[in-house]
Amino acid sequence: MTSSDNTPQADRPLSPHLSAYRWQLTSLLSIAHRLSGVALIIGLVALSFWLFFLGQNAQASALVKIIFFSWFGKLVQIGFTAAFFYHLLNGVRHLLWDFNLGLELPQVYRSGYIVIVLTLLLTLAVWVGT
Amino acid sequence: MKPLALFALHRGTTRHWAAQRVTAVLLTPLGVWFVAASINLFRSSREEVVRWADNPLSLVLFSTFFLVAYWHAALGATEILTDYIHNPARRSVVKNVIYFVLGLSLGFGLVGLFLLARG
Repeated sequence: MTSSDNTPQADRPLSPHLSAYRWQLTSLLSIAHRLSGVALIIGLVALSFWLFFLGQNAQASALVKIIFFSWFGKLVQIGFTAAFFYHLLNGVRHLLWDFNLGLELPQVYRSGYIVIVLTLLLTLAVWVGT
Repeated sequence: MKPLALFALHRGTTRHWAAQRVTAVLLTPLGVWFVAASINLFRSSREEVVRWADNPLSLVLFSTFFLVAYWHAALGATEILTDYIHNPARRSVVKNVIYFVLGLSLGFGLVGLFLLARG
């Protein structure tokens, strides 16, 4: 906490006490939902620039192609694919919780493992098959 | 929460909560479609993407996915800011910067999509 915060709230503990929790599957998946969300925002911006440069002349699209076909470009794309599937599947898990479904602790763990396994399988399916 | 409370959008936080869920529900099928449709798209030539964008169904589905995804992104970014930036003035500045960048990037994407759809 910086002392430059002069608001009364500034001295109270921050809402997600990440350092106060013992790491466990539930907290790990929760923070992973946020991190994948932030990654997907960056991916959305990248998607927009892909559209923009592809919409321009052929020269610009050739450059885009080089970026997408490089090993680093592929690695980033695999990461985005995994973040996409994780955020999608875990988002469905959140929506089910909103309907009061699967909130018992063993169910929360089970759905958590299902999300991890499905994320890996779907990411593999996209990248191994192509 | 009663189901009808979803429609009682009179409070900012309630509206934010509901909008996040509505966009999430929309993005679930749209996201699955996007993955299926875009598996080969990113490695395609410009001509192939133009042909893809020429199909009205894919153009409508993609535009919907694109706009709802940006909306969901803005909501999610706001939620993170609310949790981590506690100084209201600073939060408002960061929020405006993020909205500006997202808006600009959305504009770039839409221009590109328009150019591709035009051929």
